[in-house]
Amino acid sequence: MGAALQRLTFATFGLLFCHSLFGAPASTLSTTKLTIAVSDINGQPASDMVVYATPKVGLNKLPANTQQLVIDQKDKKFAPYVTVMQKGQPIQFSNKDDITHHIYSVSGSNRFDFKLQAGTTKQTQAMDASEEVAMGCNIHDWMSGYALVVDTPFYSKTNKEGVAILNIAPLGEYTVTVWHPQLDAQNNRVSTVTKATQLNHQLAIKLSHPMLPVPPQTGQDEFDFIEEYE
Amino acid sequence: MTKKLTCYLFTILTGLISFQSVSLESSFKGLADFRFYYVDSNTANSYLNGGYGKFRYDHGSGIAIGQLGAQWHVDFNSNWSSTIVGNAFVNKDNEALGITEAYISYKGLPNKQGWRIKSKLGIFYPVVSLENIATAWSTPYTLTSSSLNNWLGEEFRNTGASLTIEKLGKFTHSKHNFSIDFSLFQNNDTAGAMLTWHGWTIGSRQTLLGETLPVQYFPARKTTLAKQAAESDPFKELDHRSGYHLAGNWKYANKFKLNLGYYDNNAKEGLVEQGQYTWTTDFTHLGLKYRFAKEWELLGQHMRGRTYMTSPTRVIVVDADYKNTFVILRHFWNKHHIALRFEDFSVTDRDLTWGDNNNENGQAWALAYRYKFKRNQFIITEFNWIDSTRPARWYVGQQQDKIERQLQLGYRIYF
Repeated sequence: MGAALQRLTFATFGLLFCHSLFGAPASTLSTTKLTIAVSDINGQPASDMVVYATPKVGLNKLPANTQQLVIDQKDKKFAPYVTVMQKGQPIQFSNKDDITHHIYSVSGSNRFDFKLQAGTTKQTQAMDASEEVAMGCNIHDWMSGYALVVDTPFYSKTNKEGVAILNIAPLGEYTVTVWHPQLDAQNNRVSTVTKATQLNHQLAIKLSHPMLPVPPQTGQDEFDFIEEYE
Repeated sequence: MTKKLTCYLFTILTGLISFQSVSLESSFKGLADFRFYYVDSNTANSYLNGGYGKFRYDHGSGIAIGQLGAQWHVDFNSNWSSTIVGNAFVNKDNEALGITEAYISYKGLPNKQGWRIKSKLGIFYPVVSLENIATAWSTPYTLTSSSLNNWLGEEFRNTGASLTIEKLGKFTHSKHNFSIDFSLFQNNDTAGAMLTWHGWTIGSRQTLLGETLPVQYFPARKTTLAKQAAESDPFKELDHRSGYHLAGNWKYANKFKLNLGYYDNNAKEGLVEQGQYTWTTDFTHLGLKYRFAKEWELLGQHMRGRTYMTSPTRVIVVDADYKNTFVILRHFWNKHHIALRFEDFSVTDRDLTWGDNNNENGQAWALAYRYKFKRNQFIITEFNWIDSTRPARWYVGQQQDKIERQLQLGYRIYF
């Protein structure tokens, strides 16, 4: 069902994209390519930032973004470290290590915990609250990972160049938010309002808050065969 | 008592396993370590064979199974699990196969402020060593444990319960982690006897549950201590009174780790059963691990304490203070690891018993090189040098001041 929907969504986007390429007239159905370039406090591209856009007119009638979120556990790290998803979707965890992990989220409303043996996968319940999910491993205390649960279906992450592209519809006013667990701002996010009036809309966001360092995702002992003997 | 408790644990385990065989998940981890050794101890036999030799092996050379260790871990659910650690050690005139630890543990989830509770019930090591941190209580840095931790492996095992309260800093955006650990235990009433009678030793041997250790010859064994058994039973309960261990731990990022604790076996003086006396033993311990550069670490432990035993009429027969400090400097890059360890140790005899001089003073160096040729496989070579003064060696016709040397070449695989 999820996959079918996803295919449908892709097909729709594909069709709309072709429309926009070949100069189809803008209508309420067309998607707008919203290109967001995020730079840090020093003006350098800020990569791996979660970016999401919420239409001012509200979220009613917008189709859900059912893209399946998969978070791997690889080399005793969450991969990726930061992700984003829409409310109402589950998270799938996939343990690519040869040891057991005990994954948890213990704060807020989106809570879960389970042991995940080597090479296995497990899906959580749907995430029902729009807030950050701070994940950890009860066996490897240094492991941490974050998933931001958002209301809107329009979200992405910036690439190495600090750029994220959202296909939004309809045209109009949007609140665009940048979030990262290490962004030293209130609720780890900054927002700005933009008005998309054409099919290609560009937005540059320069962060005025510093980024704190990501805590090292490794234990004190450097050998990968050592498991803390406790 | 130890055997009873082990049986009890096994019964619980098998009960639980048969009860929930569908949902239980178990895992095995282990290591195998094979070695060539050469010991120059001026004809002395190892302390493990009743001599005054400070190494695990007698004077001479040979091959050995340094350690065959296995940990069997069973998860009952996401919080409760059981662990059984088995070990085997084989060299000339000394071989053993058995259990070193067996316990049920609870590990709660941290709450949103980062507080977590852990507990153990069964037979386990007191949390002291910063060296013996790998599978089956092995040390990954060297082929031998320092004399401080070698003594822990020889005479210490808690049979009881521990409770740990931890504060994980990351939940409050702090780099500091704290924990406090309290244990109540029994079955360690004779701890201290071996340290007093053979002094500090360096090796890779751990005493198995139920194993006994030969006591060195000294003249008082024919007089004042004639009732002492020929072999000490280190994990014996005599006074039915609990000992305790309290330890605190502070960790800063991945840079710095400190632990501080106090151990007291709280043994009641003057009890004796089948030649096993109560030894009242306590010590304070301090440990520090400091990663001062990306590929360099300094690691050290200090311990000081007292052990004494009395006759049934409460007259002190053996009384000794002891001290031990070691520091390891280790450097690691790519597949290479070098560890240099220095140790300084002493035992100070405080009693006047004739024919039982337990004074000792010594220093030791170890230099170990480890090459990782696969993710979990290593070639390790180590040279040890111990310079010690121990008047009791005179009882068996050996020099009181002595230098002992050891060279080992080992292959180790963790699985």
